[in-house]
Amino acid sequence: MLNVLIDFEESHLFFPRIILGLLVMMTLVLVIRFLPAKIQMIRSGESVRFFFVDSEKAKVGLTLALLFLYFWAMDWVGAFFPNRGYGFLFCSIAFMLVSSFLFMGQRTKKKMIAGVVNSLLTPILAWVLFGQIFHITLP
Amino acid sequence: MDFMQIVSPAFFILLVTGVLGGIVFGAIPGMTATMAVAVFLPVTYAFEIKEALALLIGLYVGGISGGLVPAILLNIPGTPSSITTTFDGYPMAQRGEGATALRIGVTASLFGGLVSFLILALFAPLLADVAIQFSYVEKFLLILFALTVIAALSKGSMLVGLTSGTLGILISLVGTYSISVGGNGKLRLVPSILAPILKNGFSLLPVLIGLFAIATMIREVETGMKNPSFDDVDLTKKARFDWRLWKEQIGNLIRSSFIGTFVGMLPGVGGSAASILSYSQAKNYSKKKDAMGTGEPTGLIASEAANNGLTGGALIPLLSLGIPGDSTTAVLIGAFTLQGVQVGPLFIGNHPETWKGILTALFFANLVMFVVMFFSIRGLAKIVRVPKYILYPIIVVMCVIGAYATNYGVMFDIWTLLVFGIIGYVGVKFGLEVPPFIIGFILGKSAETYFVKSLESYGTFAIFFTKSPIVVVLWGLILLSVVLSIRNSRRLRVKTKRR
Repeated sequence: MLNVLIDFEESHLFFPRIILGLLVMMTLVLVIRFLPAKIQMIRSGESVRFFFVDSEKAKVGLTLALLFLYFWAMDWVGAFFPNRGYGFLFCSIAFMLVSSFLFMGQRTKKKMIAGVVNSLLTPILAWVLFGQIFHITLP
Repeated sequence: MDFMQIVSPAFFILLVTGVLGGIVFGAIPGMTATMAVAVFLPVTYAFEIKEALALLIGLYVGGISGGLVPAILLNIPGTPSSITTTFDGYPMAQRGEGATALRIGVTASLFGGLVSFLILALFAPLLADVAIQFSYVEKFLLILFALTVIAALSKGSMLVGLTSGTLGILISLVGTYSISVGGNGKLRLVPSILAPILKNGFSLLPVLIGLFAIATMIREVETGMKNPSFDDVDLTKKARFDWRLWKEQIGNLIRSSFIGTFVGMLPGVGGSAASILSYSQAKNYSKKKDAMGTGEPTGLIASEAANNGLTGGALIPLLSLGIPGDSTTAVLIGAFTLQGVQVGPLFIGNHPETWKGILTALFFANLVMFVVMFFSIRGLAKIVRVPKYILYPIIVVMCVIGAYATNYGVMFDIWTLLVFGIIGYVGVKFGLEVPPFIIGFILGKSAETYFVKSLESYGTFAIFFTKSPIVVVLWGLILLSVVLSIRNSRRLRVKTKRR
């Protein structure tokens, strides 16, 4: 009963099938164990929250959108200047500017100057250090 | 070997930079030593492995130690491992003894770090010598043991931990079953549309950075990315170094350092488990049990000696077995991968210089940490105020550099960063345990190779029970971790019901 013969041609699926089976089994047990309590919670009027109370939901959405845009634009801009890292440089400056202002909360003149200086300096320094001195590939 | 051949001026400069950077990350609530190591990984491309490890070990030690600053000044643990530091550190700060508490914590951290350094130096080569004799069967069971221990000690139930670990394994299997490990070179778990980009699966580095840096940032955005203030804490009172205190505490100091180091050796167990266990032991042995939690240095020393003891302890399974001891050492694997060095039983024998470099880095990182933190109490307090709207954009840019450089310029690695950032953020909300997930992801491919090759060689599952006496010992350890976990969760349930 414990004997097993693994067909080499199919051997790439042998372990993943076991793992997938285990995962499905464990997930089912978890659902059976925790779902009734959740249903009870909802029935008793408690709301099931994804976000924390008083959380900045809009900012989470904006951050994700900003990250998506940053990564997409970096590739797109980088294609115009192959192997120079300009996609990284220009898009990082733009990303850092927008994200600094987004994360800043209450805006003051001092905070804004710090944000702008940081957004200009960091990508330029990183581009010089990594791209030009260390010769690390940048988008 | 000549000491100066191991170290160089660059080694020390990077070590000090690492410690300073680590202290900053550790001292800012929400940022961790793991994140510090993940973010600085791209910098290591440019250096030799010894220098790269000096930087990363400096970050590790600094990151763990820096966590005591907000724990004492704000009652917020800077890193999960300094949670018990808040119990007595913050009441001391409220009494106007903030500077004294910081110095006691830093000194205990140094002691814990040095004890763990000694145990690492003595224990890792011995363990590696034993592990060299392991066949694929024992190696697979060792990974199984690692996963059960991690799952047993995860925050939720053991089943949640195991499910997270299994998910990590599954994701690591995405891509080709590589010919280099005896596979058939065929693709699995990849939709045909994504076959060209997922041929080699997900790279370790972007996955790690995504889970530890991007996910943390999104969580911080959700909670408003606020910097806490501590205007009510007085740091002007002069802190005297009282030798009598240390004479009284020597037993506690030694016990806590050992607890931290040995908990660190258990795969995947974080510093919070080490400091909680050490704190509860200190309470058991203390003559002033009732005073614990009200500003008693005993608790502070127990917590800090244990969490720094963890650093050397967590490096033991990494360097002797190839299994990371905690999340931070899991990220350290990334540094070894970047340099083309494989950690495991053969590492110490094949790379004696790198091994000595690691020991030297750990020893000096603790000394540098002590000097920096002991003599700059006011400066430490200022770190907590470094605005996050400045730091997080820098971190994202560093993450992009690291991810893109992983495979010398593959845009998909940057998208991996985002995907795993979202998985980390959303997954945790649904109960995903990140440490077991990461360990599963790191060890998944090796587990497959060891499992399938064992079966191909012996043709029976029985080999996993009958191969050698070591196999019996490993099964004993696996069963023990499962039984202990079930017992603990039952006790917890009974306690919760009584309340």
